[in-house]
Amino acid sequence: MRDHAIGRPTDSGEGSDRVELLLRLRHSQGLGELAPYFRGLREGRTIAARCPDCARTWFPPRLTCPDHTVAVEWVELSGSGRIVSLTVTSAALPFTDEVPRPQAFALVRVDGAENLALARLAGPPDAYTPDQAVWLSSADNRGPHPSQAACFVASEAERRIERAP
Amino acid sequence: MVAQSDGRQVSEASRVRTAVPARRLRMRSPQAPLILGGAIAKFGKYVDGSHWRDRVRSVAAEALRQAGLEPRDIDALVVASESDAMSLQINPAPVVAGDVGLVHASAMRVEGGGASGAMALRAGLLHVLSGLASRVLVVGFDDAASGLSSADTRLLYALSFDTEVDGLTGAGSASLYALSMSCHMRRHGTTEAQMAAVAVKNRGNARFNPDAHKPMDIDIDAVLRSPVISTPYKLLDCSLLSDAAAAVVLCAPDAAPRSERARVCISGSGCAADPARLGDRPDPGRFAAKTVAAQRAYTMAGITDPAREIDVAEVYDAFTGAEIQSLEALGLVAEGKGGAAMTERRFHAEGEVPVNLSGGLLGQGGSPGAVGIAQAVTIARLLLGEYHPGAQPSRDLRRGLVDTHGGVATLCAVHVLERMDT
Repeated sequence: MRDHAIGRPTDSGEGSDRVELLLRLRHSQGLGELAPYFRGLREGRTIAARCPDCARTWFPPRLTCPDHTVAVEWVELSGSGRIVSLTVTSAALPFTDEVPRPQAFALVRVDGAENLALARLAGPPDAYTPDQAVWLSSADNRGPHPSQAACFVASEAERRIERAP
Repeated sequence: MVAQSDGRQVSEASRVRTAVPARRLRMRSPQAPLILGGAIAKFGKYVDGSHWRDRVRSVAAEALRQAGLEPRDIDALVVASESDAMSLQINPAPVVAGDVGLVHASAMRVEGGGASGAMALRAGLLHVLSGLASRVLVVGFDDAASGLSSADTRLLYALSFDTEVDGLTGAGSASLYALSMSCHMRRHGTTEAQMAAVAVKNRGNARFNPDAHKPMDIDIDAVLRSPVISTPYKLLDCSLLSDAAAAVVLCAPDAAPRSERARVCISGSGCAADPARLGDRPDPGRFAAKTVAAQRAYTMAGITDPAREIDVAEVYDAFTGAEIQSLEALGLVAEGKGGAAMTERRFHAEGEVPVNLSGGLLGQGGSPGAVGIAQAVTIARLLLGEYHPGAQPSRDLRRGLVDTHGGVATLCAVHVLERMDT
C-alpha cells in the first residue's frame, strides 16, 4: 500500500477556485418530556427524576430507569451539591454575542441524586475548587437554550430562585 | 414487570438481558475479511480549490487499484461522514458511488461522531461476514479544517454530545474531555507533564509521515507553555481539525483475487456505547465502554493478553489525556498507570507497543469520517512492513489494533488486524 494524495493542502487560498456561502439556520423544537427539568433550571429549581420502583434519583433526569421500565416521577431536590470535577475555559456561550471570558464548568453531584450534572459556575472561576459545596441558582441565567441556565453559585446567600407566577 | 417462575417480579429489561446472551463470534483466519487495498489523502487544510469529492474519488481509485479490482467488482459501498454541515451533502453514498464508478452497488452512509470512519469499517465488515456482499468499498471523509470557521466547528462538535442537556451548555468538546481527565488525574495522580508527553510523542511521530497535517518537534515545556484551552488542556494537548479522506477495500477471502503477497485481515471487531452524558457514568474519568468494545474485539480475535499480543496500535487521541485513558481501557497498560508509562516511553516508536506512529489526531490530523479508516490503512501498512521509511519499526509486527470513538468515548469501536503470510 503506498501513499496517495490529490490537491495541495495550504494555508493560503488566494486565487483558488473556491466559493463561500453564508448559512443562516433558524431552528425550533420542543423541550419534550424533559420540559419540567428545563423550566426548573430557568427558575433555579432542582427538578429531578425518581424511579417509583427503586427510588433511584437523577439530576439531570433520566427518563428511563435502567432496571425498571416504569415512568419516572418528578421530585424537587434542595439544590445543594458538591463539585466533583472542574475546568476553566474562555469560551463564549453558544448563540450569544458575549465576549469570551474565563468561566468554570463543573460536574456537580447534587444532594439526593446519584448522577452528576454538567453546569456552569457563576462568577470568577478562582472562587471554586473540587469538593466545594455549591447551590443551583437562576442568578446567572444567560443564553437562549435552557440548558445554559444550569448554573451554580458558591454560597447559599448568593442563591436566587425565581418561582413562576 | 414480568413474573418469574418463582413468583419474583423482574423488569422486562432484566429479563431480556438474561434470556438473550450476546452471541460471540470467534473469527478463524480463513473466515476473516481481508483488507485488499487502502489509501489516505494527506491530512491538511485544503484551500487550493479542491473539493472533498476529489479526495474521495482519488483514495477510492487507489484502494481499488491496490486490490486489483474494478468498480464493477464492488457489491457494496459504505461511506462515513460526520456532518452535512461540513460537506453540504445529505445522502452522500450515491453521490460517491457515482463519482467512483459504481453501478447499482448497495450504498449507505454511516455516522458515529468521531467514530464515523470506524463505524463504516465495522459496517463493511458486517456486510462481508453476513454474506450480504463479498467485496465492499469503505470510504470516509470530512473537511473539518477548511469548510467552517473554528467557532462554527466548535458549536457543531458540541452537538455530538447529549445536545439538550450537555451539548449546548457552552462547555464544548474540550471542556467535557477536560472534566473527564480531571477525574482521572484526581483518582490516579496523572500529571499534566505526563499528558504533554503524549503530544510530544505523537506530533514527533508525525514528522515521518508525509500524510500528516502538522508534524512538530517539540518538548514537554512547549506543551505546558501553550495557551490554555480548558484546564488542564493547553493548545498542544488538543487534536487538529483537518480535511482528509481514506478508503479500504474489504473482501471475503473466497472472493479475493489470487495473490502470492502477504495480506492483512480484520480478525476482531467490537463496539459499545456509554451514556452520552458524562455525569451518568459511574466514573467519568474511565472509558468503560471502550473496555467492553475491546473485550469483544479481543474475544473475536482470540486475544487473551492484549498487552503482550498486540504489536502496534493507532489509538484515538482527541486530547492527550484521552490517549492515556484509552490505553488503560484497551488493556495495554494497567488502570491508572498510563501516565507513568508515557514518560517511561513504553508507547513510543521504540517502546513495547508503538502507539500512533502516524502521529494520531494530534499530529496526522482529525477528520472524523476519515480517521477510523486511515487508522486501519496505517496499521495494515505497518503489518506488511510498507509504512513510511523512518516510521516503520525494524521489528516484525503481526497484530495491530485500531481504536476510535465518538463523544468522550461514548461510542467506541475497536478493531484487530492481523497479517496473514502466504
